[in-house]
Amino acid sequence: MEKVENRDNGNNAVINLNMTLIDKNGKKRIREIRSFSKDVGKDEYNAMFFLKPAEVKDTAFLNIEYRDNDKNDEQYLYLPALHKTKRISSSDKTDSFMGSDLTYADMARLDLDQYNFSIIKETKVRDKPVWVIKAIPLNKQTINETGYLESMFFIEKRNHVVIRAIRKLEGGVKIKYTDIKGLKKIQGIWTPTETHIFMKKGKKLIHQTILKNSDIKYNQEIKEELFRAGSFTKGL
Amino acid sequence: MFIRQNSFVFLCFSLFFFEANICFAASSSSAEPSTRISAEEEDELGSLMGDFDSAEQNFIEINSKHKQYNPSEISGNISYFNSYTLSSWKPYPGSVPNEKYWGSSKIRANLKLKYHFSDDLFLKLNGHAFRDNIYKEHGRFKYTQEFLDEYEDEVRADEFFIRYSATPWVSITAGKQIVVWGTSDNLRVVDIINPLDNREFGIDDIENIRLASNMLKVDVQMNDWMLSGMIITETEQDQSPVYGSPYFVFPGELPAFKSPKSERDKHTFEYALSLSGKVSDIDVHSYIASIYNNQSHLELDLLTGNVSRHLAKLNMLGFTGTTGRGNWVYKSELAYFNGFKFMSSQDAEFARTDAMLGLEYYGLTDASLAIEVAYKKILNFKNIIETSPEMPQETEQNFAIRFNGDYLHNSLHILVLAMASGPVGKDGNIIRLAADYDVRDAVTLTLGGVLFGGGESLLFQQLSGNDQIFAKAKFSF
Repeated sequence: MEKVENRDNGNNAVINLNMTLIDKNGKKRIREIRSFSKDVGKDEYNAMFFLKPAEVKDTAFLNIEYRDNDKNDEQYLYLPALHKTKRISSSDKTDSFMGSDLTYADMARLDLDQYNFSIIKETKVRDKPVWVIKAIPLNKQTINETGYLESMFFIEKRNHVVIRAIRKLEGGVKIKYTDIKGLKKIQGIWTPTETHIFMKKGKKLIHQTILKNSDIKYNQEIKEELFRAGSFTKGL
Repeated sequence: MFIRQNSFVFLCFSLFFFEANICFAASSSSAEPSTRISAEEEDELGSLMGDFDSAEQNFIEINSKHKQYNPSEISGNISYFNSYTLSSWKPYPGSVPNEKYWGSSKIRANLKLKYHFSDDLFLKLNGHAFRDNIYKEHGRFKYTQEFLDEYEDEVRADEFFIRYSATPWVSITAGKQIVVWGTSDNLRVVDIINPLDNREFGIDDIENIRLASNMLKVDVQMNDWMLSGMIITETEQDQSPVYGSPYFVFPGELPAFKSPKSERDKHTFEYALSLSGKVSDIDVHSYIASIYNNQSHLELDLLTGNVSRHLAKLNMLGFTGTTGRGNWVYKSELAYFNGFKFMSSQDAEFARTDAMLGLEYYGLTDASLAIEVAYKKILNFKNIIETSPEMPQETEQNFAIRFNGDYLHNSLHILVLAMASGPVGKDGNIIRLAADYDVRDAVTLTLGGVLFGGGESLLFQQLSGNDQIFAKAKFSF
């Protein structure tokens, strides 16, 4: 675990996110975000500025994740229509991120202590050998907080990257599939560049999301004010 | 649009963290013999894996190329708004009350231009124009000219400022701008810098109701603390309903307004200072201001008997605090004012204390709920001002409950806002309901309604004839 926590995770990163949401009728909607992240000690600061659609342009979101479990994480949202930055707070991670098939639980760290992991199969995905690992939450609270009854992760043996995931949602009716279609080593860091996520209810496809990451740069000099909620009124 | 708020971790990183965590699990587990699964589970896994292949054909090739950085940005929207009243009210002085009535047929355009001359120099221009055709349809001759001037059409620059960042820690902003103080979304306590457009009380979107003021603003960042000083060079009052408007609550025309600039030969600058920072995990803000009241009072000239409207100079000292715990956000505001004036007390000045407590809950899936309570008390209240036309009350209580929800993958946005005044809301209340549906990224349709509940307050009794439903189509670019 020490090895995991001390690895180079690409501090001071800048990235453009492009999300295409596709509903069951094929209607597409586009979301674009410019994201900045920075490690301050063991704490993580992430600031996102929404570029598209026009309706949410200039909205900004700041998340400060403290490693110290006794400290509450902090979240701020700048709403241009209100001309103000709001303090917000949520420990529930089942909400959709900007209407996509991703939830905040998908994007948060997986608390390893809260799961029972087992390797159930060794196979290949796109000709690359993978382990298939099943993760079962140890308690109801974890299910409630993440929304997942169980998950299967497909991990490439050569680089230990999760390239696919199949996750059964609470209620047992919907299944979410995540497939990392693009993976690049950028500045020495394995980085997903294209991810497809789709949700099925039984045999029926109900929604899809295509996430593309571009202009990924690590170890950038990022203005500190981007991580200050009070400066959000200035925009990017 | 309500952007859902949660602990979001920059996706690329998160996947990486996540991978690393799993990697650890895999590595540690790999030392043990691999767990095998039953034939039935193997079949299920095979079927699930097959879904990846069958999904391939459903994905469409998406071009995700980002546009290059452009120093200039133009954005905005064009909307068509239609409202229909449900109650019986006189649409204009002397008219016969209608049971139901088309209240508005308005086309509005908002335009925003931003230009970055350099990393340090930035210009913003934001304006709007609207035209309401309903008065032409009803017959313009039925309305007062004052009413038509205010409600029929308008072209206005809302924000127009230039910002210079002298150093990474100091920025100077000059021009027409909007500054919002406080933590409350619904009840104003320390939010006193900009006046509001209340011409159509409760109807217009919040993004359209703040009026920018001309000012020079200097922001100084000192680690986690921000000091902001403002000199406001333009004294403006709230834009209120005019005589002839269904939202006009007084029995007759109001006397002429005299701005501080025209009536007194002295400078009318307003001054404001704020200090914001963090103590432990509580966001704290303190404010001090010498500013004109945005709402006018009446003055009687004892020699001539003339009555005129004026703005009183107020001094304010205010504090706010906000913190978050789990799914909850706790908010508080406290302010002390002096300098209020009322017609029946002539030149006497009154002091008032305002307080607000708020609670927001983010534990609902894709939704949030907020409750706010405000209490105001005139400290040196005298019975003589009770009958003053400004209708001051010794104590005032206001309540607000707001629900925001995003559904259908962020296509449908629901707002329910209920506000009430007086003890247990007995003075009156307003309920606003709205559903915004994004037909596509740039096109939003809105259906909603506003209900006014007349209580013991004269103000709410007058407003209670304005219940209406509305529809809006908006194209954003």
